[in-house]
Amino acid sequence: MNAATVRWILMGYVLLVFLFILAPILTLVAFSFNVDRFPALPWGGFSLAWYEAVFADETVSTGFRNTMIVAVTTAVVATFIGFATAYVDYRYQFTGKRAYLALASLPPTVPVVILGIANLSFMAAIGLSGTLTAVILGHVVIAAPYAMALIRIRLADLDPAIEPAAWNLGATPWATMGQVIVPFCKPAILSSLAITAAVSFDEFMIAWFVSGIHETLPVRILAMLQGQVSPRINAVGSLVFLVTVALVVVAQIAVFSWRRKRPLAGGGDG
Amino acid sequence: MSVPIMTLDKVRKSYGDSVAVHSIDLEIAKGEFIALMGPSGCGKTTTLRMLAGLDKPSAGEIRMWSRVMNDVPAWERDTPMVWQSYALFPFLSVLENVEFGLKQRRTTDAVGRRAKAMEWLDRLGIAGMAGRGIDQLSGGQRQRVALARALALEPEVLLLDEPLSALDAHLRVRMQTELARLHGELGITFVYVTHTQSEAFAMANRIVIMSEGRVQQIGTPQDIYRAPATRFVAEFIGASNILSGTLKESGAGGIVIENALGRFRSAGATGIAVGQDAAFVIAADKIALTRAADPAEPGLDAVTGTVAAEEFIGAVVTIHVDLPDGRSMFVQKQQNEVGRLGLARGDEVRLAWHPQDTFVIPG
Ligand SMILES: Nc1ncnc2c1ncn2[C@@H]1O[C@H](COP(=O)(O)OP(=O)(O)O)[C@@H](O)[C@H]1O
Ligand SMILES: [Mg+2]
Repeated sequence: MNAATVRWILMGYVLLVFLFILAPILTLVAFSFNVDRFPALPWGGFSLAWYEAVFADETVSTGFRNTMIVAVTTAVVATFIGFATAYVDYRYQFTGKRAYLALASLPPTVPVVILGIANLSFMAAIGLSGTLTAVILGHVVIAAPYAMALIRIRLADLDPAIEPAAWNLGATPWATMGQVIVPFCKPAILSSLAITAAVSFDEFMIAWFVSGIHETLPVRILAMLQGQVSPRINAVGSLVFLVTVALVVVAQIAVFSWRRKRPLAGGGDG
Repeated sequence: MSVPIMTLDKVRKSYGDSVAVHSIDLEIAKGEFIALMGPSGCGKTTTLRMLAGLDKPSAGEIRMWSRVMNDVPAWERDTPMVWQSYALFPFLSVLENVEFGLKQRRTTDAVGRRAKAMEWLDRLGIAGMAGRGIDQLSGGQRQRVALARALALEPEVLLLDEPLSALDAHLRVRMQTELARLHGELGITFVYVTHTQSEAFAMANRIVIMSEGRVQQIGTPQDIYRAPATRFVAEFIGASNILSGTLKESGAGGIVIENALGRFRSAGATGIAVGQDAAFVIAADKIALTRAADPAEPGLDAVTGTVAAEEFIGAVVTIHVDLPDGRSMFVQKQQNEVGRLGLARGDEVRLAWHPQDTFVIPG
């Protein structure tokens, strides 16, 4: 077999894998625009009726709003915590550092059902059960490790002499944080904001356990599924998919910008 | 010496059980170009970082003029540093890097800051690079940015940690000249860390030789070259022969050291007691080389041996001579001087020197 053949086979294989993963989603998107009530071939005709129905449905728009509030807050809080955790790892040497890092990375490895139940009983105990705050707290726990991982990778590229160099030039530790560390980490911070928002945006289990009457969109979708099957679900699903993909793409763009060279233009007469 | 600009008073730095710097006493005069020199790991960087306030002495006192600096944080000091890795801010342009320190001071507005930064870039010959990113510069250009960034603060003391070690040999020599010129023009104090002898000897007014966290010798390049104080310094400098033996006499008439090769005289005093091991050091270029059959010059100490090898570096020849007891010595001469003798490997030669040119160190 020559190299070209191998390449074609590999490409075909990759294509198949993508098809396998994306086919259900593409079907869902396709049928969200189908005029027919039941998803069946042949295709009945193009229609935006289901999207109109979704936007008219108050439970969906409330769910969407809740999801957005939770996602944005989670992204900000989780990124802040992730940054702080990563910075502590970067700056300080201390015994128990491995344990510290292991603990900080732990949440995503816990089965979500367990996390959901744990959150439910804990939030109930502190009187937060059934609030959006509870959902946010639960999401911060699972999202912060992603933020830490991203920012830690970025900090690993920072010359250890940079920070003392800033101090040496008269910058206080806080000024150094604001003028050196954060600007250096900016791509990772942007990327982390997008990824943690995406993690929160389509998280179902914790939200289902603790949200109570403040349903987030994924919880609403399940409720809709449990009622009658309606093509509106296809429309909602497509929207959720779109937002998640958009967030991941933003995160990727930020990550790729790490390696991008600075353009020649800039201050001075260079 | 009037009040030194910086004083290290029994300064010690330990990390847990390991001691990086034992107990350094050093006074640095205003305007001096002082080099801290020693092999890698001897505590040079640690000493420099303590001067910058980046590391805190475990014991002892650091003073600037008469002010005790131990508890003054790095960002409140005026001792900018040029780092071995340059440590330039990668997300800022060249100009912004140079402006960084001025921005922290808040003594000038943005316009004044820019003008000052440009002035220093110009002075270092890289004004044309002002708008560039750091990753668009060569090593030599980065070096200049690092210098401009530190000098833009117009400090009284500039700290430099092996600033030339990342440059190729050609650039290193050029920057050496430039640093010496800058030092002369600015009249400020340079504290320069290096493990390269040629850099220290070429630029410094005074050299501090360190080994394993201790000061071995402080002196002018001349002092250190001609009169190494310890065996370590003599070996580190490598320009001298060290012949060890036993101290036989010590008094007004000088010192006498005896070994299998004979009795050798040395001028000067020593703290070594009679009967102790001692060695005398004689610089390779202070030795007269003649054929063994030629008449000996009176008043000199001498040994005879056989020529083992010759090395040519430029116009200077190094001749290695095997001595009868198995040791060897080396002599450095101008090529034209040696040419006259027409020496070949295995020839018998006499090495002779003035007792005044030798120095005694502990064995
Ligand atoms: N932060 C630190 N923790 C522990 N040991 C250190 C630290 N910094 C330096 N040392 C040790 O102190 C000694 C001197 O180091 P350094 O001053 O960097 O040497 P030099 O600059 O002369 O090469 C070395 O043995 C080094 O391992
Ligand atoms: Mg060093």
